[in-house]
Order: sequence, then C-alpha cells, then structure tokens
Amino acid sequence: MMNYKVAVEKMSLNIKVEFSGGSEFLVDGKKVHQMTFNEGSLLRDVLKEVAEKLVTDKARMNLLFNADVTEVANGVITLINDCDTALLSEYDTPLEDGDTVTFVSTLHGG
Amino acid sequence: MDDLSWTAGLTKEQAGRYSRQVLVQDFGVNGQKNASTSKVLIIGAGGLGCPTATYLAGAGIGTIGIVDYDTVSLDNLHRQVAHREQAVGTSKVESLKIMLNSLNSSIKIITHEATLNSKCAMEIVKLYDIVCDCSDNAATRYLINDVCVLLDKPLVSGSALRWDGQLTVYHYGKEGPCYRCLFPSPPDPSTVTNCSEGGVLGPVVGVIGSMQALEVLKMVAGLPCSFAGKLFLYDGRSGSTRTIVLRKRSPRCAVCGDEPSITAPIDYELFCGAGAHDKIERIWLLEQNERVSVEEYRDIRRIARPLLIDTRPPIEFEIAHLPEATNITLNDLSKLDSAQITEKLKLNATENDQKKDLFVICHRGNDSQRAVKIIKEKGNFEFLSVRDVSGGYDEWATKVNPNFPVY
Repeated sequence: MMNYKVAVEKMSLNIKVEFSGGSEFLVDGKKVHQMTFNEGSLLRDVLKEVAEKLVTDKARMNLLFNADVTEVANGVITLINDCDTALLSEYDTPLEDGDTVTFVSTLHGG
Repeated sequence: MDDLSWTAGLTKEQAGRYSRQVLVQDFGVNGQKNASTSKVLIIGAGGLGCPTATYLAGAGIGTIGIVDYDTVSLDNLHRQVAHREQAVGTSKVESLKIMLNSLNSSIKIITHEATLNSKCAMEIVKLYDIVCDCSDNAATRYLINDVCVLLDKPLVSGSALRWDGQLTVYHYGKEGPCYRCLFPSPPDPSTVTNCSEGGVLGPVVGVIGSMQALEVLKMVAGLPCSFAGKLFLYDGRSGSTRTIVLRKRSPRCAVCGDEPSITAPIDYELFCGAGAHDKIERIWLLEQNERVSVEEYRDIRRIARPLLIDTRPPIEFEIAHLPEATNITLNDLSKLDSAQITEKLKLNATENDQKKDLFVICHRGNDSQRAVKIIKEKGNFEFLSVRDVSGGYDEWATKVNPNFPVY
C-alpha cells in the first residue's frame, strides 16, 4: 500500500529562482527566492509562476516579461544552473529538482 | 667581442618602464612588443573608460583612441577617476588625454570628440585593432556592435549600474556571439535604467573597466580571451561573481549571421527608440492647466502651505525635499486608493494648509506628470485640482532656490 502511494504521488521540484541586474526590484528587492514546481514542469512554467506569485511591482512587469508572459523581455537572459537557456531547449527545458533559474537584466550604464 | 654589442627584444626605455609586466609568464617580451604596436579604441571616457584607458596607457598600448561627446561634470568624479576637479565643464576626451599623457608620454593618444553615430563610426573604428565599449546607452551599444562585426574587430564590452557590473567579449573567434545574437531586439526604453537615475558605485565600474583592460592585454599578447561567449557578472553588494556560458554565434543573426540583413550601420536611435546618451529625456503628458511652473508654485506656497506629494524614491527624498512634501512613490500611488492617499496627506498636514489643491513634484518633472494621471484616474478626491510642478526640483533649484541640493 505504501509503495503504491509513493508511485502515484508526483514529486515536487525545489527550484531556486534568482534575479540580477535590477530585475530584483520587481520581486520585493530580494535576489534569491525558493519555489516548488510539479514534476514535469518546464522553464515556461517558471515565468508564469514568477509573474503570478513573486512579482510585487506589477506595473513594471514589462521589465522582465512580455505582455502574455510567454517570453522574457528584450535585454533579459535566462539561465538554468548558470547556462544560457538558448543552449538548452529554451522555454521547453524541463526543470530538475535543485535547479537554479536566473533572470539577468543586462546593464547599459557605464 | 665588442663590449658595446647586445641583442635585445626590447629597447632600454621599454625594459625600464615595463619590466614588471614583461616579467609575467605568458605576457613577456612578445606581449610588450605587440602592445606597443596595438591600436585600441575606447568608446566612452566615463566610469568604465577611465580605468580601461588608464591601465592600457600604463601598459604601453601604442595608440589609444578615445571617443566621447560629453563634458566632465562634478557628479562624474566619484567614479570617473581620471578626471580632475579643474576639468569640470571641459571636454572629457581632452581631460582623459591630459591624464594619460602625464602617465605615459611615450604613447599616442587620439581624441574623437563626437557622438559616435552611423555616419562617423565606421571611419573611426577602422583605425583600430580592438574596441572597448565603455558607453552608457543601448543605442550606442548596438551601433558599436554592428560596426565591430562589419569591420571584423573584437569588442570588449563592459557595463555597470548600482552595485552590479557585467563584462563580455563579442565577435571574437568563429563561434563567438555578438551583442545582436544575444539581443536581436532592443529593450523597451521605459525599462532601461541609466546611471543618472539608478546610480552606480565607483569601485564597481573600476572593477569592470580594469577587467576590460586585462582582456585587451591578453588579446594583444596572443593569449586566449577569457570572456568570449561568456558573461561575467559581478555583484558588488554581496561580493559574488559568476561566469555564465552564453549561446554561440547565431547563424540567423541580422549582422553576424550567415545571411546578414545589416550590411551598413542603421539608425540606432530609431531602432532603440532612445537617444545615444544617458541623459533623461523630458516628456509632456499633461495639459497646460494641469501644471504649475516653479514660480507659480513659489507664489502659491507663500500664501499658505500647500499639499504636496513627492514621488521620488525614499533615498532621493532623503537628500532634500520641500518641508510640506509627503513622500509617496509612483509605485505606491498606483497601489493605494484615493482614501488611503488622502489619509497619508492629512497625517502630514497642518491646520493652515490649503486643502483644495493638490500638487505633485519629482526630480525633473516626468514622474510627477505620470503621478497626476494616476491620481486623476482614481477619482473620488475632495481636491479641486491636481497639478504637477513643472520641471521638478531641478527647476526649483535653477529658478527659485539655488541652494536647494540638486543631484
């Protein structure tokens, strides 16, 4: 009985979500957040969850995401474990337990 | 043999001046000889350009070009450490040239006092072997990228804001991506924060500018470049650094791809929807009757203390504000309802206040207009009118009280 329960229960994925280069101001100024996702979640699910649950400054959401939160805004690079997600499967990259997802806003000042 | 004969890799002057870097394994005599014949262009004589140019001049890069259109201002000096107080108001390229010449009189410094644009960029960049992007705005960054790809020059790119710095080398080697491979479309101008708004700490640009100079020295010494296809992130606040692996050159890139659509510089201010500088652009959102000039506001407050909302971030409010001002940021204004806003104002009000009119002020008169719009959309206010103080504290300091601290 116990074994059966373990088999059907979906494992949850612990994901660290980080913000850098100014995007942290949208999420209460905190650079590191912990989130949990269902097994089988993709990078695109992180975008939606971040927009829904972490972003406190909704008026400036366009700093991080496009209007329907399907992509990051121009000038933002998305990383999984310090690797550009363009080298992975972009928004279809599956999450693994313990992954770190980072949103880097590029800077223009100097 | 002749007492006076010798075989030399370097001249006596070079050996004497550069010995401490020539002694470094892998840089050596070869690195020094290459440095003396290298031509490096530094675009931007600001926070990044000052350390980059200073270290490259010290290292004996034979020809250093500097591009900048701007003049030195007092609020540059905390980070643009090659400029001196006496240079305030004078050309940045000239000021930097004087400093570099006094550090190393044996190298050639060429100044280009101009805004780098589509017309002049190709002519200037083609004179050099390596380009350092030390600029401060997106339009210039796209221009420099495209010109470096078109002329096949490696681009050492630095940027910084607040506590954060970033560094990468674009268009280096066969697989190295360019700026456009990473960012095919420019950022929405409303999302770009520059150093005049967000601020920046001097040592942060110092770290990134110094690293730009080091990448150049590796290139001239024929050593592999460390940040081609990689992005170095420096978080000065936590003291952490990380290097991330970027995508390869995109075959579909508009400028460095296999079938490029950009074969000559385009109009970058149009492309980015923003000017090629880091100054704040004035907006005009309100009707004339929704605004008061600083002189009108001065006359109003001489009669009685008005109700005034100051929309700046708390840090700026703390620098200086008018005594009647209540600090409610733009973000808070959009979240609060009209009853909550009225409540906040009353907490800060006195018996003698004029309660019929509400005024809004900010740094330069842009956010105050946005705030008036936000407040009016909420409705249900007891005020007869909501107006902004045109030009904000900057104009107040210029026209009413020159002692008011501006920044």
